[in-house]
Amino acid sequence: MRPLTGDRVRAVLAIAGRDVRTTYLSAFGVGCTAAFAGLAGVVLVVALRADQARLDTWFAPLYVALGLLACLLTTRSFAEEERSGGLELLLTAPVTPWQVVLGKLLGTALVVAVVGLSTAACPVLVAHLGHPDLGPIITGYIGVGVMGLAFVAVGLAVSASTSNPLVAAAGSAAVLLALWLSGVVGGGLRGLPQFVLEYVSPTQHVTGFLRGTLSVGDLTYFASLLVAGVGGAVVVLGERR
Amino acid sequence: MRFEAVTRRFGSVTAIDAVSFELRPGEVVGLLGPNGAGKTTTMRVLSGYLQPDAGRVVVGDADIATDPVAARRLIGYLPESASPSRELTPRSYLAFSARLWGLRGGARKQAVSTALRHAGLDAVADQRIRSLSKGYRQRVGLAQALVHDPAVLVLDEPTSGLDPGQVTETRKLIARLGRQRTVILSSHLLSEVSALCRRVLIIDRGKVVADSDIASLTGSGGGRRLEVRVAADPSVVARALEGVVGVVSAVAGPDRVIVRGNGDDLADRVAAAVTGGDFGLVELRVEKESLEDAYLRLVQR
Amino acid sequence: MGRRGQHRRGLVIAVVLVIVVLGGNVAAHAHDAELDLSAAHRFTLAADSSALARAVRSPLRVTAFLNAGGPEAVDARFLLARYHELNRRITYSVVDPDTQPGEAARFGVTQYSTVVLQYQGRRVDAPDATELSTSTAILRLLRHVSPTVCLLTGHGEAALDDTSPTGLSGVATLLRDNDYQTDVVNLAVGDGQVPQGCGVLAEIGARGPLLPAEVKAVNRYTDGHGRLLLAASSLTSGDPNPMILPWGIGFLGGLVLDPDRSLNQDPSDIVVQDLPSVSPVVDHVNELQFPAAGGLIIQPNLAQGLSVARLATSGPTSYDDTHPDAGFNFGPGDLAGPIVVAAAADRSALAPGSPAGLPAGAQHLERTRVVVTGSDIWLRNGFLGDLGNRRFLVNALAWLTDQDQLVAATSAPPNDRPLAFTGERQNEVIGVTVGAVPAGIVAAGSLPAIVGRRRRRRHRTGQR
Repeated sequence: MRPLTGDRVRAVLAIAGRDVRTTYLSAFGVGCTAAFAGLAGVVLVVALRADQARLDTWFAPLYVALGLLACLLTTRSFAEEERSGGLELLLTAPVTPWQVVLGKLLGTALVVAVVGLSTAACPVLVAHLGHPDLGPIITGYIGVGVMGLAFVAVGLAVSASTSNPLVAAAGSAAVLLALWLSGVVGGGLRGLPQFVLEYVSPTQHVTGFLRGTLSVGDLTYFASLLVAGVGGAVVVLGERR
Repeated sequence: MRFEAVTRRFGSVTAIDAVSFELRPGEVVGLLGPNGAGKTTTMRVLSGYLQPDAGRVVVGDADIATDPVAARRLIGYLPESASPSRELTPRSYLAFSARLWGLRGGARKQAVSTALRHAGLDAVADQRIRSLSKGYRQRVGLAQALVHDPAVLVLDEPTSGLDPGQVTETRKLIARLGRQRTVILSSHLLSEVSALCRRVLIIDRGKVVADSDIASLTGSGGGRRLEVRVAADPSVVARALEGVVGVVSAVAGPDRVIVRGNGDDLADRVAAAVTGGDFGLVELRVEKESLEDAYLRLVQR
Repeated sequence: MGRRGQHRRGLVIAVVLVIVVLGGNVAAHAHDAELDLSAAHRFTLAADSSALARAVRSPLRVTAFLNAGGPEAVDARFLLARYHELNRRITYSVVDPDTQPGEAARFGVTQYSTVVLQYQGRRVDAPDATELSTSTAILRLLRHVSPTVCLLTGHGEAALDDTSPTGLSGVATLLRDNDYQTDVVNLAVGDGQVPQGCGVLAEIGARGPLLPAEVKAVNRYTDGHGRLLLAASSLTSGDPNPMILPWGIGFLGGLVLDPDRSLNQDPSDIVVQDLPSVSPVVDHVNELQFPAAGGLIIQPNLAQGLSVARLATSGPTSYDDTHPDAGFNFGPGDLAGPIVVAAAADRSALAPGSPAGLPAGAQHLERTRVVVTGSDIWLRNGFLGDLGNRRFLVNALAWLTDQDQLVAATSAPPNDRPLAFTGERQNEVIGVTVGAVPAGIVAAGSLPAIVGRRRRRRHRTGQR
């Protein structure tokens, strides 16, 4: 008998819940979160030296750190789990690869959300000390969420393709770096190649979040990365079996 | 459970080739084979982790390819190198497993308690898995295979890496479980298989070379082990005996030759060869082939 | 499903993914909608600006020379990115003149907040990177209209090619950089008329008097809706009043002295800080340096349709010394400040008739504009780069040639949100964000382990 929709969702939530628990029951998860929060503080100090109550110059480096964080977190999602034999147990349970991938995406995304929340003291402090424009702060955090999900999805797809956590981390970083650099390369070209390469780069779509605007195009871009990453992870998992 | 002409390749390497066998309810079957024979591949295809390139696996009424969820519900799988989430406790890990199997509320709690009890984990149920010994961690793996009360247990090298005491305990556990379920376990240890299983499958280079109950394999299979004490140099005698019809191997010891071979008249032929060669036959003892002998005979062919 | 089925399924998923991703992005790009949550929607371009951006057909390069560490640079990137998003031919960069002086020198930029736009071999400089300035500059480039500034000569004026501190080569460069043509006109020769193509007639620092015929020619020009920039000199032996009195502005002469607002301990080297007008001529101008300025007066009864703006006045303790040769003292005949040192007159009237393209019977606007300054020294090479002098000149020319507000875009309010980041505040921020928050996270993360250990200890004790 095929499992009911409720059961399917419960399975996804169970996998996500387990991943969140194992992350935060370990020094790795707590350490990552504390380190990111501290890094956010350091970046804030540098940003505030311009004597302006604005956070766009704070969010920009955090987005880069977010990419690195996604690479680190997703090494544990498939690669390390496969190495430890846990993936075999997961994939022999009555769950589909889609449920496994969605569960891991949700779990890692929740960790990213916790890490993002850990930086909340920064805008609160700036609001306490000055009068920042709230719009860019709201869109900045929306950017954290949207980008975090997308980068995690990319990391999942890479992690699913290897059982070596180091290769998974390096591979994810390489993919994100390639995307980032495509904008640089595109800037030196003209016409369709310029358009395509610039469009593919996240930097093209980050500016909106920093300045306080939300555009359908930017959100679609990151949704595409998310869909491609999730779909890619499912396909890779299937191919490797 | 039926394994029907299953083939699985990895690139250009055929790991298992048209392997077929059947598990009947209540059986405890051992899967033996040398390294690289295809045991783990067989177990992984059985569990549904790997897809076959050809053939099919049917569990109960469910084809594992077309109805994987229904098929997997009937199987409890312990992989060779399973290392469950080390940050969780056995209780919380089993609760997670139970959730995956669709168990909710009171049923889940009950299933977790039962699995903990069966696996002998009650004393350490709330300790982090990473702080447990290898033996206990193996038991946690067994417990997760049991939590949904499956009809079939697929255990890949269940005592691998355990110390002798832990091995004994695990074997006792498997023996207990085997009274209520169908079990297939793979192992390098012939003593383990002969202690726990009534039936054995021997796989070599991706093919099944034997599928029989142990008694038949060692008794009427025609396999014989002869211990020949001679006055002459045993190494000379061993060389001479290798040419005798039915002799598979002749190994010289300090004062005797151990002969393995087939045929009810093997002893007669060996005796004739020793006396005919004037090697001074002192004693000839015939033993029924042990499982080890049968195994070696079959995989060396 | 066997492996073959798995492969097929994987391929189908991959193809569907590609279609969905491509299709979604193409559709989103074609129908891009946006929500601007920033204060006053500062980064949403007005319809005019968007239309201008889309009208660019060749590569248009925007180079903004801004302090890289300041909020203006960040806002400039955000805003210029909007133009780029609308039209990829518009590319931009933000350059800090301090860290890249060579680049600044290549463009002839000597101060912050200069934005250089280059298009089809032409160049226009914008005073800042706001939407209004940027769009106006783009429109000027797209229009292919390069107004001509005609400089009068023959009365001791400095030359445009004179690079000495008293020369006007700086003005020449500024005009070229702002897409103005230049011409030198001597009304004493030829037909004695101001040429038809003169968008602005400039009289800068005449030392000698104009001939009556020249004055008549100038007046005919301004009467005929011309545009006049007159930088009077306190050292002149001539009288500029016949040319400017009809426009409500009179030149007092004398020497404006401001002991409280002057430089180099020279009370005649005045710094003008009072710019009471809302005229576009003083947009983004905070201060001016007007050495050796004579005073101006504004006529009380102005003709109908004529308006005069006091662009710049000296400080409250200043005075116009009518006998400066006798020493700098306030004496009889001197005029107490504040003294007007720059003014702008505008006469606009509707006239019958219409340019081609408008319906018959329509009317059109006829306009004369005049800018007068009591000093000409501020335009010399030695002083043009000081304080807001360059900006004032660029604004004045733009106003005179009706290019001050070509775009119906509201200027976004500057995103100035000051926060004095004192040492105390820095310590507070560090203490909370680098200290307390990470420590709290570590403490919270250690809690389960501590609780678990205590529980196990209690359990073992209980067992004993």
